[in-house]
This record gives sequence, C-alpha cells and structure tokens, in this order.
Amino acid sequence: MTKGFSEGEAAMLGRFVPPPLAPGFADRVTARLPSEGVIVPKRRDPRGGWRRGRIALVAGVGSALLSVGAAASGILGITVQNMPVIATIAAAVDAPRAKPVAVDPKPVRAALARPKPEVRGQTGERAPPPLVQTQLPEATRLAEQIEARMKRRDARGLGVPSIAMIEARRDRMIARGDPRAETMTAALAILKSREDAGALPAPRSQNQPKRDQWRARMAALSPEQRAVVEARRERRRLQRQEAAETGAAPADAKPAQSVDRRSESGANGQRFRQKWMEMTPEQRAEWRARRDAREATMTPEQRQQLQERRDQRRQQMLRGREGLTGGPEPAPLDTPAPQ
Amino acid sequence: MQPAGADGQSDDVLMARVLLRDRASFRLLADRHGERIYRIAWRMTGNATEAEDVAQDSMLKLWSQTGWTAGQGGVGAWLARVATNGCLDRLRKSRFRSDDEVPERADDAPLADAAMAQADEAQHARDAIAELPDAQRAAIVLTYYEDLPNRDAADAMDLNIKAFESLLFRARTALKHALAGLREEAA
Repeated sequence: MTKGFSEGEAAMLGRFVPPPLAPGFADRVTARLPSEGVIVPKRRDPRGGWRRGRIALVAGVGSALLSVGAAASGILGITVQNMPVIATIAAAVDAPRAKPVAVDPKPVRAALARPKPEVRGQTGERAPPPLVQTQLPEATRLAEQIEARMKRRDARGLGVPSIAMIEARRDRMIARGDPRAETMTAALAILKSREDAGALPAPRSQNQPKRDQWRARMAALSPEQRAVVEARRERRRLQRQEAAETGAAPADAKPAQSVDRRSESGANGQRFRQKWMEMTPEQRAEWRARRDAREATMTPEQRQQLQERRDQRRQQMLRGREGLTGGPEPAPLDTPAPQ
Repeated sequence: MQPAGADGQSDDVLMARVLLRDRASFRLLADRHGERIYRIAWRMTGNATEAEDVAQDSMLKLWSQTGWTAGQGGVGAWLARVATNGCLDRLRKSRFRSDDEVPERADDAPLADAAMAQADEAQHARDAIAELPDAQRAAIVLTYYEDLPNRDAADAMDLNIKAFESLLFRARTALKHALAGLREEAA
C-alpha cells in the first residue's frame, strides 16, 4: 500500500479513513429510482419502412417507364447531340500554309538569270532587290575581292568574316539605301556558292588572334599576377555592366576613331582619373615607375612634346574643375592605361 | 467478465437485468459498489453527506443506462469514473458558490493520548490531501486508496496514460511535501 510513499507517509495516509456508509444505502438508492417501465430503444416509425420502400419503388418504376417510353418514341436519338470533338475542331481550322523557302541559286548563273520575286518579311523591311544581268560583272568582281580578302586574312591569322556577317552588312546597306546593295546581293550569292563548294576559308572570330595572344600572355604570368589581371577584368566587367544599366558610357570604353582629339583626350583623362582613384598605392607606385622608365628612353624632343601636352591638360583640368582642388595625378595621353 | 458477488451473479448479468428494469438486480449492484464509490466521493469531497449524494447519483446514472457493453471496463470501473467526474463537478461548482468550507463538527469527547495522536495523523493526512488540486487528489484516491491500475484510473479521469502518470507523479510529490510540512508543524 506504500506505492511510492515511505512507511511513515503510508501510515499517515492510512489514517485517512472515511466514516462508514450509513446502512441502507442500496434501499435509499432503489427508492429514488423513477417508477417507469422498461426503457427500450426508440423504435422506428412502424410505417416508416413501408413508406420509404414505397417511395423507392415508385421512383424506380417511374424512371423505368420514362426510359422505356423515351426509347420507344425515338426522342433519345433526337436529343442526343454530337459533341464537338478534337478532330472536328481541328478539321475546321485551315491547314498551315508552308512558309516561302528562300533557296540559294545553284548554279549561280541560273539564279542570277531568274530574279527572285520580291518578298516582304513580317517586319516590313525591304527585301533584297532582284538581280539583273548587267550587275553580273561587278558582282563577280566584288565577290572575288571579298574572297581574296578573306583568304588573305586567313593566311595572316586574322579574323575571317562569315557569310552571315556579310549578309548583315548587305542588310545595313539596304537599310540606308545604298545603291551598291544590289551588287552586294549578287556577290553574296556567288560567295554562298563558293562556300558550298568549300572554296572559302572557314570563318573565324575577329578577336581570335587577340584572344590567342592574350591567353599566351596570361599563361606566362605567375598565379599572383594572373589573379591581379583577373580581378582587374572583373572590375572592368562590373563597370561596363553598371554603365550599361545606367545608360552611361563605361569608364574604360574605347572612344570611336572619329571622335575629336580634344574630346577624346578629355574622355581619356576622365577615365584615367577614375582608374587612378581605384588604384592601390602599390599600383600607383608601379605605374609611376613604368612612366619614369618610359620617359628615360625618350629623346629630348619627345620629352618636350610630352611636357607641353601635360601642361595643356593640366590647364584644361584646372579650368574644368572651376576652383576645385586636389585629385589624382594626371597621366600622359600617350601612355596606356595602367595594367 | 466481472467476478461474481456473494449472491453468485456477476456484474454483467446483473447489469443485463438492470437494462430490463430489474430493481432487485439494481439493488444488488448498489449494495456491491455503493461502499466503494462512497469512499471515493468522501475522500474527494471530504464530506460524508455529499459523498453519499455522489454515490446515489452515480447509481442512478447506472439505472438510466439504456445500453451496456462489456468493453466499458465493468460496472465497478464505470461507477468509479462517474463518481470521480461527479466529485470534480461538484468541487468546481462549490468553488464558485462559496470559498468557505463546511467545518467538520468537533468531537468534544475526551481522548486518550494514543487516540489523540491517531486523530492528529488522520487530520494531517486529510489536510494534506485536501490541499491537493482536485485532479491530483482524484489520482491519489483512485490509485492509492482504491488500488485502481493506472490505466483504469486514467480512463476514469478521461486522460491518456501518459498524462495521468504525469499527474500522479506531481500528486505524489505534492502530497509528500504537504505531509512533511504538516509533520514539521506538528513537531
């Protein structure tokens, strides 16, 4: 009886004894019982079963009669409608029309003699003009020139344009209304036939030689130098991306060849100032050392010209700052960007 | 199958007759289980009158049963459950009704020392159990005094076995602390 309690606790709990129940408890309880009869579970409605059965019977017989009557009268054949199915819907749609296929003329002379019908694209751009027989000598000469140039570039290891690039060039000529576009179209047809014959060199990217040189230079660098170069490339890439997003010109974008020299120098100076600000002190020291070494090899005349350009640029910068002071040390225009 | 009583009839047989409104069988069941549910009710409420009321109400609920299955743990377990819940309901209602406890009538008869000591211990035990929360008190009464297995006691209190064992552990711990405190006060 201890059940988790010590002997002393159990003894104390054992004193907790209820007084005896007064005799006659059963009689008192029995006397309180209600004087009711036998409690039986509630029976179902005696007529409920028959009623439900009768409803079901009437419903079943009625539906059967309706079905038989409908089948006998043929109304089911009328009411049942053909459901539209996929085959019906597909049959109603017009068959797709074949797109006009532009087939390159083979042989060339037959294609040239039979001018293509003018086809306007979906964008409404102007289609290449039809060839005429009179253009043939010029087109042949132009095609020969282009082919010779391609082979020459291929022999020198430079980039070789593809037919697609030449077509793009032809499209640009058409877009700006250049009268030589017709000749170019005829030359393009000749070049395509030459390409099919395997007479043209394989197209190669314009930057492939530069890439090969760059890879060779990178392979010659130490891992640390390579890491520096890669970091610099990544930084430039981010700058270009940011400039593209903001719509501004990237800081290291090369100026167009036709840009005025003065504005070009200003843009170069601006770009270099930005690079200078991003350079670490070590990079700046390295850049100064390279500049001094370069100037040491200059002739006095070259050094004099360089000094004059520096003075001009400094004056421009002072005028441009409009009273602002400080800033990075300007770099000579004829020096490349710091590597 | 419930054990047969002195009259040779099991609880299930008597209950089957009760379902047929047999008063004699009901009287036999009341005679057989009345004392037990009275003890449970008395230890829960601490009042003899209220305990008998609870016992009678429990028996009357048994009479009003219209269906009975052997899977209900027997008549005894069913009555213990009904009595326990009835006590908890009454204690809950009385707490809202009044915070005053009905004082036990003092026994003015002179007592010998031994009788006085026993009375003190009984009072200590009574006070310690009375200090327990209702659910903990029910757990102690059912398992300690009525020797119900934990599972049956848990069923009687509509608890799962884990919850009941946790409750019982807390009840024992609280009761031990209460008994120790009362002993120290008495010393």
